[in-house]
Amino acid sequence: MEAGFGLIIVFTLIMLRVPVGVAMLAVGIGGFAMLTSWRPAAFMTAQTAYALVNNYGLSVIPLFLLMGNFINRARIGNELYDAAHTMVGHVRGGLAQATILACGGFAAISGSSMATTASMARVAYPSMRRYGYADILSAGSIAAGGTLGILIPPSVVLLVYGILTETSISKLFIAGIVPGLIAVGLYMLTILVVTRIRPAWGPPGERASWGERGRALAKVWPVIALFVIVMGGIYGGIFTPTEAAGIGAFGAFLFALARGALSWNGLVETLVETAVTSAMIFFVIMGALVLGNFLNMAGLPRMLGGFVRGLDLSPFWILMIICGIYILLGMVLESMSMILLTIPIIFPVIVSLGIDPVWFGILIVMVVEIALISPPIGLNVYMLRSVLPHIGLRTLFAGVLIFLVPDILKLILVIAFPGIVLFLPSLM
Amino acid sequence: EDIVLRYSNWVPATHPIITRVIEPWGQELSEATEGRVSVEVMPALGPPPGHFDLVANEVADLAFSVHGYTPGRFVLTQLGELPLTHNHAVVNSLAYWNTYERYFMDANEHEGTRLLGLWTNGPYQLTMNGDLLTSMDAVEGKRIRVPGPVVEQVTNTLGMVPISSSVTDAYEQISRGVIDGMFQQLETVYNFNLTEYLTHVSIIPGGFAHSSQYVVMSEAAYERLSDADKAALDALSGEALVRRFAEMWQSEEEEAIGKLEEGGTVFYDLPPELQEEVGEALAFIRDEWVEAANERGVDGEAALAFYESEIERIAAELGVEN
Amino acid sequence: MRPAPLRQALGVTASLIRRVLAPVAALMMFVIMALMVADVAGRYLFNAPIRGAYEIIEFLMCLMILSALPLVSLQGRHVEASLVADLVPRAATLLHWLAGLMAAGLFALLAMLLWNYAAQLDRQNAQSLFGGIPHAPFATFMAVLFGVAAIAALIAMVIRKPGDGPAVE
Ligand code: NA
Ligand code: NA
Repeated sequence: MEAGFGLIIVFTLIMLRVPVGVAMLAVGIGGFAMLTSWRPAAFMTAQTAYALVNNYGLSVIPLFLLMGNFINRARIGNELYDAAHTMVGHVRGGLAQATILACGGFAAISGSSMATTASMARVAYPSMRRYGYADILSAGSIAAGGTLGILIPPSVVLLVYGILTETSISKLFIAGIVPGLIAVGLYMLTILVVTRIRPAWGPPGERASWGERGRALAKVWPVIALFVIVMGGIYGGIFTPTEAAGIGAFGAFLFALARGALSWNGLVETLVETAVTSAMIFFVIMGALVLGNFLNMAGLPRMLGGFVRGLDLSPFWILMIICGIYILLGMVLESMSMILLTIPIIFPVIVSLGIDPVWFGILIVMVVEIALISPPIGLNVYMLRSVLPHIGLRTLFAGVLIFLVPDILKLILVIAFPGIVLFLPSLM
Repeated sequence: EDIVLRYSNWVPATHPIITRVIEPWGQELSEATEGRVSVEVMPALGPPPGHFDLVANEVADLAFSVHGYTPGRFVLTQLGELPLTHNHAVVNSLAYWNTYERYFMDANEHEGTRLLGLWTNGPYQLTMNGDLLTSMDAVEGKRIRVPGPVVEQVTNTLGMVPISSSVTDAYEQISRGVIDGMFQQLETVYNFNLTEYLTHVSIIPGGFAHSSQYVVMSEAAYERLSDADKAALDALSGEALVRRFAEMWQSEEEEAIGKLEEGGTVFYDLPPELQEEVGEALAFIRDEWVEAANERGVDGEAALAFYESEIERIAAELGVEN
Repeated sequence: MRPAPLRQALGVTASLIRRVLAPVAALMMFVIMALMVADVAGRYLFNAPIRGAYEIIEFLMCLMILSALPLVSLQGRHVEASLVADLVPRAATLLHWLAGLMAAGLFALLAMLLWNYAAQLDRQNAQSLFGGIPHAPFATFMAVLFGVAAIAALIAMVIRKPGDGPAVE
């Protein structure tokens, strides 16, 4: 009852453009005070806030962001795209194919979808334009490729999920690798099909010689090295994810420095930018935790559990319903707030159904990927728009719609064959 | 009107703390009050170390927590954490509770809440991946996860390298060889499936240290109860609650030891000479505690002597050896 | 139009906040990274991890996140949706002020809550596990910075235009 009212107010405030963290905190504190009294609500909020920011494990978020930002500063995007271009540029839609490959490479060292989208848009779009690619295909491939940023580890969304649900971040990261590769494959397949139907959208480029390929690949070795150190370190148990993030950030720092891409001002800017993004994320997490405590106090987990049991549906159909709710929410909410708003409510149900939390985490990320590119609020699409202002929103969304097909296909694959997700982590 | 006491729970819902103590205890409270007072176990309303304050500030009505989680706050209760006392959780806990009632009650370290009981679980023994404490320098340089200051002192004394990490990190670290071992209750080794990595256990009578635990209730919640219900709650608190927890821990510990022995874990009892050596090396921890207790206005020496005599008395009464 | 001197004063305050807090946040970020690397290197290369690195990083996190929080408002980086504002452009100004006032009020409230929490931690002599570092000063720091965040939210409400989206990189 109180919980339902609270959620409606949060949702309304968010729709009215009140910052998500502010909306969740306001309702969380107010609702908690109504259920108990002012003193407990005040204390609970302060303690939650203090414990959240004074946290060793959560330094994993800023450190992985920092790694991605240093890499971004190093402008490795160009080299990644060139390397991908020399490999697949000559096939039909080859530049779009190269975009997907380069996005996958960038995703392997960046945890953010937005960063992946932004940096590839700057590099890949001008090239596709030069070759006369249709905006609809260029934009679609960049926006879709950008979503790989949160599926292929490292991933900020997986981090937040792991933190909220106390699921092993190591396992979540390792679990994202195979679905990430499948996503790359399906996106590339989609481009092949699309350019078969509409050859004019994506003419092939020139074929590169093996020498050129070798030279281009040699330039991206630091990306491969960083990925191997960070993910290999986690997989082999040499570092915890938090430590791996620190090592990865430091490696990226040295790399940017070595490339001469890091002036004093650039260094400070990168650090400040990372701190600001982290503060933004932490503030929303704070909101989710306080709101979660209110919902908990209002008995929502118990009621929802009872409701779900009362439905008498198989776990499969409950999952389908959850996916459906997420896709609907994704139409109006941005990914971080979606995860933070829903996971505390839905996760207890998942646990009670005996669903593997690692597998569910990957499933959620894939649904969030869809949300990132689905209208009316697809953050990746807006991001793309701010980098490429001359392309209309309609064209952007149309391009993206094409890539919803492989996204849904991948979702079906992972639901039908959970081993895709769980095989690698089971070996750890 | 019926009163529901909100118990904020930060351990897994299936943990024996909940299933074997809190739930049956709440059931008995409900029966004793003819349904007027019941206990509702809720998902945690705050971080584990914050649970004392959650109760003090009336966020939750009841909570279980560990004294070692909030350093600087509790000094006298470090008595319960001392090394080389007794293996048997019931012996240790009853002696500890009696000492608390007699010597520490007035110091009121749980100020702002109503203490329903305190106790220890099984002793911390040295569990390692392949190593045994066969001499004072046998484990020198090994990396050990430490949960708090007392274990850190023990670790340093034995020449090991203390690594501070969260419990969840520690489970990952041991499975990957980042750390070589931990001081643990054997119950934890078994219940958290760490037998594959914590293959060797070095045992000293009375343990290398203990974890001191408690349940507190909010004063305001207590005041809401009628006199009859207060009496019913009182009857289920104090020694009655201490016993419940201690018996649960003891049976968990015995069960785990049985399973570990079946599964091939190597147990090594420190020989008497080595026990003595370790005891001498760790004696400073007791001395430091006595000093700290004196500073809090408690006769530390007398309290410690009483604690030890109570251990002896209760052990004899229950007929359990160390 | 609002009077120019006010806007100018707010602009000066904003840049003051930025100039003080940005370097602090940057430094903390760098030290967290360096400490993490040194701790891991110490553990593997010298079998000597940095004592208490764990909790030093916790406190540095607090300093970094709170120093950066006012900048989130100043840069318009709060996570927000914009459905109604997009659908009903005429409501945008009103909603902009609603969001600004709510954010400022909430930060001010958090400042007060953390201030009281700090007093409580101080009374209890709450300390970190290994270094015995007192918790109260960090809670006080949070309270002060939430206060600055409230001011920053007010400034941002006045000097940023309703249409300004989040300035993403
Ligand atoms: Na990534
Ligand atoms: Na969306």
